Amino acid sequence: MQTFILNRIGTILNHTGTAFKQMGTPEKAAIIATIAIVAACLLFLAMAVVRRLYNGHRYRVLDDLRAGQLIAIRNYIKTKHPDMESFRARPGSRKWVALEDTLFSLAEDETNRIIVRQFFEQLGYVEHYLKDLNSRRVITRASAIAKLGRMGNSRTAEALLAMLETSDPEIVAVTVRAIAKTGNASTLIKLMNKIPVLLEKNLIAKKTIDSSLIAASSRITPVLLDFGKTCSNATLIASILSVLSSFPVDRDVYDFAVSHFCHPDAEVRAKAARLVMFCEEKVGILHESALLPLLKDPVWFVRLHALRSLGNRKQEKYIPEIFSLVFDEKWQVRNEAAINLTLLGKEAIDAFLWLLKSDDEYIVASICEEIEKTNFVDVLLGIMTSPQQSDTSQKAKEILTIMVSRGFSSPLGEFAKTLGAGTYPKRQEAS
Amino acid sequence: MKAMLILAIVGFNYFVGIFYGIVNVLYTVLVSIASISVPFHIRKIKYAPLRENASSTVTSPVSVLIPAFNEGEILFRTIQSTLDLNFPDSETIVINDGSTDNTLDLLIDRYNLRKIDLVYRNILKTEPVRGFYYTKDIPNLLVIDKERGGKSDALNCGVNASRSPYICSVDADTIMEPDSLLRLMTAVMESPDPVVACGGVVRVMNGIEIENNRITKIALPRKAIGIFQIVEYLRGFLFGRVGLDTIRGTMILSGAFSMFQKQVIVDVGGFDPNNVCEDMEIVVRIHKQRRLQKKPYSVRFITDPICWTEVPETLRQLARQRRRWHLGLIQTMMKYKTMLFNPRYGRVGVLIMPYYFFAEMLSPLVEVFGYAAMIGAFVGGIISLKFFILFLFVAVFYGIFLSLASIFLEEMTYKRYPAWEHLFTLILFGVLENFGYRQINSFWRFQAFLQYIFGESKWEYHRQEENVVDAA
Repeated sequence: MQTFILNRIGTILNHTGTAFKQMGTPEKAAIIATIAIVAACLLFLAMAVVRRLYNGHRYRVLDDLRAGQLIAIRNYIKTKHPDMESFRARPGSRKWVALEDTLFSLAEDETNRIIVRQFFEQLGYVEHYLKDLNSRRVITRASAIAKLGRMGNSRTAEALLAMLETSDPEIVAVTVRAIAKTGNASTLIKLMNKIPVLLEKNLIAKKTIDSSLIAASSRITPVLLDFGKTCSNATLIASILSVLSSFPVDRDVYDFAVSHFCHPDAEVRAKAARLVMFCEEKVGILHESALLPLLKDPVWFVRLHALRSLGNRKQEKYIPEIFSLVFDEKWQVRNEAAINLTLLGKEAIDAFLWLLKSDDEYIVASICEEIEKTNFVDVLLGIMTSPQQSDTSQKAKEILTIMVSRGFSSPLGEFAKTLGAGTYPKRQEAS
Repeated sequence: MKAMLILAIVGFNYFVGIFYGIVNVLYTVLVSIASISVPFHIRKIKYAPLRENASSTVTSPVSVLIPAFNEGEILFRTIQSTLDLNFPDSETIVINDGSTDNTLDLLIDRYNLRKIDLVYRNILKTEPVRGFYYTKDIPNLLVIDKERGGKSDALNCGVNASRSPYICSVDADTIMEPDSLLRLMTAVMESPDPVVACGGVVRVMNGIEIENNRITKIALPRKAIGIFQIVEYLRGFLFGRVGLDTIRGTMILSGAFSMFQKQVIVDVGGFDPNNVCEDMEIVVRIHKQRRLQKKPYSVRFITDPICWTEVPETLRQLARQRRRWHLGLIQTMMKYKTMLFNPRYGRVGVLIMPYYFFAEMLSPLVEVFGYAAMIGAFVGGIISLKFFILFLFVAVFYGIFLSLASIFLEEMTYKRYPAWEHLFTLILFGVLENFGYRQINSFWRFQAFLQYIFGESKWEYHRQEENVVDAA
């Protein structure tokens, strides 16, 4: 039977071979192409199936290893058991990968950071990834840099700094993030010194620098302040001011911000004004003499940030300054001024009334818009319908009447509906 | 005379053969590039600063724009997905583009919205706005009610109302994955060159399980037409666009999910209401303007941000959609034909525009006429049955190879269809789509040429428009 089948196959192959030889060149090429394509498709299928089976098994093993190691390391931490060697694994092995994942997850908890760092050092992870920094493959280098950054070992700082000498933006970005994560003061200062060149060569985005420094957390505040005081690069100072806005602030930070109010670069002035806003609540003082001139800055976003800082104080005495910016040439500043007036509540009613009687339709529209958006309109409705009628109630009524006449009638319309009154005119769209 | 005809047919057959040979070589190059760059990108994601950016104050704010026309309750899950985004500062702007059903009332009831009056700055001229709806309970949600003007007009209205430096356009029947916007923005933030536009991957939502407006389980559509489209989307997104992006030649960002720098949109004059495929047209316009102004920029396609969208489930709807897409491509190519082979526009003019013109725009014409000529040549006895069958075999099997390569790439990288049955079903449909589905698609795209020539080029919301037509 077997011989018969083999004979049949041999005959078929012979016939096919003869037929193939008799074919023309285009037909032969077409057949070869078809066979190659079918073979490639079958190969795809086989690889997909094998990979699924392999990965399924691999992930099961890794999950089991991670679960076991997590318990073992926790016990180790609890008992201070000296046998760290029992965790040692061959680099690249499943045990190695699982332990690395477990250690990184444990490092999420601040209290475990030091012991996890020891694990990485003693079990050869740091050494292994330091070697990977010499790899010719970008992805291997980048991955090693990122992991060394997460391990936070100060021994790796110099090696990481050396990675900034590359011209690959991918490597530069990962390295900046990694160095920031280590939080080592001297390394950080060396990094900051290199940033202007990296920016100049277009090897890194400014946002990457900002987000990397923010991710390093507030422990780097003293380093940033020390560096910022001697730094002359405007982009970098703006970055430092921006980063400091994300951290808890103190008197030093406040003084640092105020010292840049007169900086020639507009972005630095704006960022300084913004930082002061965050400082106000904590530090509780305001350098009026320094901040108020920024309200007249020729650059609109400096005025905007200065206005926000001033408005944040919610003090009646600044109404004249805020009031003056309602007439600003930029709608962003006008809107901000209007918002700040609404935040002052009843105290600003006179200012609103005066402004709403203005002939400038943009100013009136900005004020009406913010009165509605900040729900200040509800305050006005409350005052207007209050049983104790006063001068303020009269002014509130006057403001609402002007708003309706200018087409900002929705809230009053709704209010009127609840009272069974008629409808109000619609505002024409601004162009 | 007969000899001339035979000569013409043989000549055309050779032309078709050479054309497809070149196109297939290009596709092979794109598959090869994608098979290297997608796994590379996946490894990069492992150390991307997603967590840092998710809570960072320097992450740029984004306005998510959702144009809606007669969407009804479907809109809720889209809005919910945008409100649930893992992103530090985003606002959702729904633009009700003159719906004739109760879409606006549903929105007002659902979110307890209140009408407010906002100053509408008509920077990009649009149809009149009828009202703004807002609630202080969800301060990052704004609904704009406007008169009907089409999707581009609605997007322009959203751009006017947006207060963020970036806008993200999302279709009303699309669900964004929680990290999708963050992943897009991370790529923008990390790029040393200013990224003025970028887009992510759109996947087929039909069949997946949704609870409380959130995706709970990924499954395949029940209808074959949906599965065919999954294979198509994988091919389009995972190798076509990735390959082109790797050589910095992204020309199409899906309107279902793309992000733009707002100022750039304003600078180029907004989305074009006269183009049926506004997403491609605006990207080409951005390329053109930036190249002429010699400003540094990049347009990126990124593979890890994902959104899920509903695809047509009937042949009629699918035909309309495909005709519209191809018509948009033709309109755009014709509008910017001066960029073709023009070195002034760099690689976009010299490489990418010709690729889209010949390999994408003209291919249905060549395919339809090619099949006709081949059948004619066979019937007329100019070519033998053996040669005819071999031609079909090569054409079909190469299509199968490309489909399976995409499924394989998906399997090796993102693996969003985890069950074994998903893998085998997709492979089966990857084979089957080359027997009829691909050819009928070419025919629909061929019809788009007729529409272009005879001037039937109005914009349509594909599904909803269909419902309106059906109802009428």
